[in-house]
Amino acid sequence: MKVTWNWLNEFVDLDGLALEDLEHRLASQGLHIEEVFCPSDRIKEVYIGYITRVEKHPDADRLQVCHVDMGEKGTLQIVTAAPNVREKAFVPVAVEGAVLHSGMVIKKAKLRGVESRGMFCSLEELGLEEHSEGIFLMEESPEPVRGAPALPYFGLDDTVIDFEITSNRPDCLSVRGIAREVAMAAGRPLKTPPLQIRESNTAVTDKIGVEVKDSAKCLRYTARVIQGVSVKESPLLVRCRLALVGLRCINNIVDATNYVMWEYGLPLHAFDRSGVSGGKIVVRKASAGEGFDTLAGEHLQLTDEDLLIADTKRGIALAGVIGGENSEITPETKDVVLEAALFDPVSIRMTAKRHNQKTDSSYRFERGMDFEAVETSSQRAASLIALWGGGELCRGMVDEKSTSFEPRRALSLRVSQIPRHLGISLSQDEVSLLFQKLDYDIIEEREGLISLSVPSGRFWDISREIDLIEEIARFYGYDKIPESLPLLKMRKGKSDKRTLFYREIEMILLANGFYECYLYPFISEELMKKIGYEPGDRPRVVNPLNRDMEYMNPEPLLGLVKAAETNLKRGAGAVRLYEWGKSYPSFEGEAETLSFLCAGFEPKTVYSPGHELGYFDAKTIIEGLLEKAGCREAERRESRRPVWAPQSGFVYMVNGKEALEIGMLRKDLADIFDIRQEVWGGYARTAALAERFQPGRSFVPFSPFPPVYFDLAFVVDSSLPAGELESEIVEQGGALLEECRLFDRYEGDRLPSDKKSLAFSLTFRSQERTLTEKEIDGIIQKIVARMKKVFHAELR
Amino acid sequence: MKETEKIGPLLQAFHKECDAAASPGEWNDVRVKYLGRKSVIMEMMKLLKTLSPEDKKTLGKEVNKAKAEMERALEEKKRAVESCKGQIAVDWTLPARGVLPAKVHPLTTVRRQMEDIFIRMGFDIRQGPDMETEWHCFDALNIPETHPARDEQDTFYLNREKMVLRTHTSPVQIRTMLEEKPPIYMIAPGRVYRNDVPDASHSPVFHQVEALAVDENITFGDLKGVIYAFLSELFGSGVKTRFDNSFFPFTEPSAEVYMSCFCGGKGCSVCKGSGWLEIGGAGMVDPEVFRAVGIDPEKYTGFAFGFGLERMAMLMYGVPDIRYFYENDLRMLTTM
Repeated sequence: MKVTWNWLNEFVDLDGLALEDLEHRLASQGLHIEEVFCPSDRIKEVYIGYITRVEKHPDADRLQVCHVDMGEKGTLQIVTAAPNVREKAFVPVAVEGAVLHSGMVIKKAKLRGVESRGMFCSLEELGLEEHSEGIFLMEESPEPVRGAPALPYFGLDDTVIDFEITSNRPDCLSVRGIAREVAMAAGRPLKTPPLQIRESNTAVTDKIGVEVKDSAKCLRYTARVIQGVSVKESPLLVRCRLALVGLRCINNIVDATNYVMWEYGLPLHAFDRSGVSGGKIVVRKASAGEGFDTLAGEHLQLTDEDLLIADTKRGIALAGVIGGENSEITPETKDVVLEAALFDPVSIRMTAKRHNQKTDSSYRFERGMDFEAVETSSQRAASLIALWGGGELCRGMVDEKSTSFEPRRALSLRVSQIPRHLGISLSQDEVSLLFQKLDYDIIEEREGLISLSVPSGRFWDISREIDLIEEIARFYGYDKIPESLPLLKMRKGKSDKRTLFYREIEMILLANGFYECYLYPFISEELMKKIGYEPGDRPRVVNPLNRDMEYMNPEPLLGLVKAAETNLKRGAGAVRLYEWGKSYPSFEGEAETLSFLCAGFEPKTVYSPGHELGYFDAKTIIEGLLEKAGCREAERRESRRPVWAPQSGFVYMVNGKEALEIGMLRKDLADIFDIRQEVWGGYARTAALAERFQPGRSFVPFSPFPPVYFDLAFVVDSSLPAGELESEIVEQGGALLEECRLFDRYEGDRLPSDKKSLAFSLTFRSQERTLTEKEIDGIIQKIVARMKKVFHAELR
Repeated sequence: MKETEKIGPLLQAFHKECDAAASPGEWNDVRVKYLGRKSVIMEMMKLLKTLSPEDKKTLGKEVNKAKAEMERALEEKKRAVESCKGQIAVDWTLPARGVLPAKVHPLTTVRRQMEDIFIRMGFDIRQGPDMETEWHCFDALNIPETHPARDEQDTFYLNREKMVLRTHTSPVQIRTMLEEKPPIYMIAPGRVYRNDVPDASHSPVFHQVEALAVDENITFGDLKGVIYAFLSELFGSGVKTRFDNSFFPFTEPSAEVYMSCFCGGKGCSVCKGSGWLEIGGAGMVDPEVFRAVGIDPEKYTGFAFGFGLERMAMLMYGVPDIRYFYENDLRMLTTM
C-alpha cells in the first residue's frame, strides 16, 4: 500500500516529523515499510521553461528549433521532434546534466548540425504515465515561474512510502488508516479533512431506487446520483498523485472513486445511469447459470452463490468484484450513479475465487471494509465527481442497511488475562485509557472487567478477548515486555535410538568420502517415463513451477545423479554423494530414504595408482550399514527396481521389508545426464534399519594363543561367485578357523579362458592351546578335498 | 718418551676426522681407524705389556686418557650423525594416505546446532509428512478457506483432494498436540515448500525449524526469553532481539523477530543498512488452534515460533545465495 507523505499530512499533522523517526515505532506497531521512494532522488535538473520562438530546422523536416526562456537561467536553444510544440508555451525542460525517470541522462547534442542544449519532457519522462503522446504543455494561469524547478508543479516534491499490510489490517489499506497508526506513533491527533458537499434540490430518490434482497451478503448499500457531468481527464495533480501510488488513471469519474478508495479504503463503483434499466438497483443473488459481461470484456456464468448488483432486468456489476460492461462510465456518460457499499467478505472472496476475478476491489472487500466509511466515502467521492466533472449532485443518499449487523462489536476484557498472556501487569485505568486513545468506546467498567465497543474499521480483526490483548501488547510495545523463561517441569527422558543410528551411518558415509547433498524432491514426467514408471495417480504437484518439478520423486537417486552431473561437468574427478531425504512412490508411501552414489575416477597419488569408483565403493557403504544395523545375515534378492542395469541390482530384506539396495545405474539413464562412467549407488530405508539397531555392544572372549597362517589358491569356473567358495571354506574350517580373507582374484593369460583363480588367506587359532602345524594340515586337506568335490576346484 | 709424544698429534688427527664424519658410515670408519683392533691406540695397549712398570704407568695413563677422550667424542658424534640420518630419509612434505573424512551439508550443521540448543533447553524433536492435508496445514491453524491469509501461503497443491505440500512446519504442531497432552515442548525441523520463483533469497524448497511450548502459565515474556536464550547461545551473548507486531493466523499476539546485525548496528549490506536481521515469525498460540486440537485455552497458553534454516545458515556462514545450498557443488561442500 503506497501513500505519499503529503497525502498523509492531510490526515495527520506531520510538521516537524521525519520518516526515519517514525519508521521504527510504526514497525513495532505492525506497519512495516517496504520501500521509500523520492521522485526527486531519481529525476534531476528539470526546470520550467517558456518557449519564445519556434523555427523550422534548416536540414530536417520533422525537427524544430526552439528558443526557450529559462528565467534567471538564461535562454536555451532546444531542438525537438515533438509534434505538439508551439510558441508561447510553458514546458518542463530537462537541461544539460538532467536525469529522467528512466535513468536517461541529458547531454548537449547536435541534431542534424544544430545545437540542442536540453529536452522538453512528457509525463512519461517524469514517470507519471506509461506512454505519452507529445511533450507536456503546462497551464498558463496561474503563470508558472520561468526557471523554477518543475517537480513541485507535478506534485513530485513528495515521498512515496510503500507499507506492507498484513491481511488482518484492511483498515490500513487507506491513507486515513495509515494516518491513524502514524498519529498513534507520533502521539498526535488524527485530522479529519472537511468534507464540502453542495447538493442540488433534486432528490436522489427521484433518480435512483435501491432494493437489497440479500442482507446477509450485502450489509449496507448506498447510492448517490451526479447529473450532467462531463467525462474527461482528472486534474493534473490528481493524476500525478494517483500515478505516484501506482494507480492507473482512467477518467475523472473513475479516478474520483479510486482516489477516495485510497483515502478511506472502501472500493466504490460508478455506473452510467443510462445503463441502469428502470432506474432501480436490485442487490440479489445471481440465478444459477446467469450470464454476466465484465467491463474487462469477460463473459462469466454465475452461480446462485454469487451476489449481483442488478437493475430491473440484468446484472450491472458483480458485487464487490468487478463492474459490468453495460453500465460502464464512457466519454458519453452524463449521469452517474455512485455506489458505496459493504459486502460480506467471505461471499466476495468465494465469488472472486470461483470466477478467477481477483481485483483491487475484491482484495479489499474479502479482508473486510469499514461500515462507517461507507457514508464518508460516498460523500467525498460524490463531491469530487461534481467538482472535477462539473455536474450537479442530487440531494441525499439512498441508504439500505442490514438490520441485524452491528458494526460496533461489543467485547469484554478480563484484566487478569493480560499478565496471563503477556507476563506484564497493567492497571485497569491504564488499559481503559489505552483503548480510548484507540477510538474504542468504553461501555462499562467493573472491577477487573472492561466492556467496550470496537471501532467499526477494526470489526473484522478484533473479535475476541485475545485480540484486545494483542492491541495492548502492540501499543505497550513488545520490546518493553521483560524476557522470562518457562518454569519447565522435568519429564522422563527418552533416548533417541534413531538419531544415534543415523549418526553411526553418517560416520560410515563420511569416513568413505561421501558428501551430503540437499535435493529438490521433484522429478519430471519425462524422466519418470524414461525410468519406466507410469505416472498414473502418483503424487503430482498440480501447479508446478516448471515441468522438472511436477512429480514427487520416487527415485531420489536420480536427484543425486543430477548433482553428480553438475559436479562432473564442473571438473570434479570423483563424485561420492548422499542425501537423507524421502521417496514418494505413492501418497501412502512417503518414506525416509538414504540415497548414495559414486562415479568417476579417483586420481593416482603418490601412494595409490588411482581407480574407477564403482562396485567396491558402493558395497563398502552397504556392508557398513548392514553391520551397524546388526543384520549381516540379511537375505539378498535381485532387485526389480527399474533404475538398475539388468541383473546389477540387489536388495537386502530386513524384517520382511526391503531395507537396503545396491546397484549400477542403467546406462541409458546415465546417458541422459551425460555421464559416461559407471554410476553405482544404493538406498537405505532408514526407519526399517533403525528398528534393528542396538546401541549396546557385547564382549566376545578372545584367545591368548598365537595364530597359524595358511594361504590357499583355487582355480575354479569363472562363473562361480567367490562368496560360495568362501562359505564352504569357513564351514570346513570349523571352530579353529578364525578368519578367511579373499586376497586375490585372477583371470587372464596364465589360466584357461573360462577359469579364474581365487586366493584366500586363512588364520587358525585355538582358544585353548598353541596349534601345531600337523593339526592344521588335516584341516587344509579336508578343505582342499571338499573344494574339489563341490566346485571342481584345483589347487593352484 | 717417544710413544707419549705420538699421542698429541694422534688426538689432533682424530678430532679433525671425527668432526668431518657426516654419515654413520664415515663415523664407523673413524671409529675403526682410531679405536679398532689395528689402531695406533690398540698397538700402544699391546706395547704396554712389554714396558717397565714405570713407563707402563706413564704411558698407560696417557693412552687410557686418549682412548676415553676418543670414545666420548665418538659417542657424541654418533648421536649427531644418526639424527642427521632421520632428516634425510623422511620427506615430511609428502601427503597422507587416504581421504579426509567428507562433510555433512552446511544446512545439517546449522540444524544440529539449533537442535542441540533446543534439546538442552528441554524441547523434543517431532516430525511430520511433507505431503500434508489441508486441514493440518491450514484449517487447524486458523487459516480457513474463507480467509485471504490462505492465499498468501503460495501453496503447491497435489493431485489428491485436500492434499498439499506443507508450506510451513506448523502442521507438526497440530499433529503433536493431537497426539500428546500438555506440557508440550517440541521443535520440528523440516522441509517446506512455497510456490516461489527461485532467486538469491527464495527457494521453492527450503527448511524451517518450528518450536512450540504449551503449558500452564506460558507468556509472551517466555517467548521472548526462549528466543533470546537460543539466539545468544547460537550467536553469542552480545546479540540483541527486536519484536515487531505482525500477523499470523495461528498466533495472537504475533510478532516478527529480528536480531541485531553482525555489523553492530552500523548498517551493512547484509542488514541493508537497518542494523537488524529478520529471522522469523513468532507469537502466542491462538485460542482457535487450541480449540481445533482439543486443548482448553482457559487452562493452557503456549508460544510458537519458526526460523528459516537457510536464512540462519546464510547469516552464519556468509552464503550469498540460497540456491547454492541445492546446487551441491562439491567445491562448496568440501571447502565450507
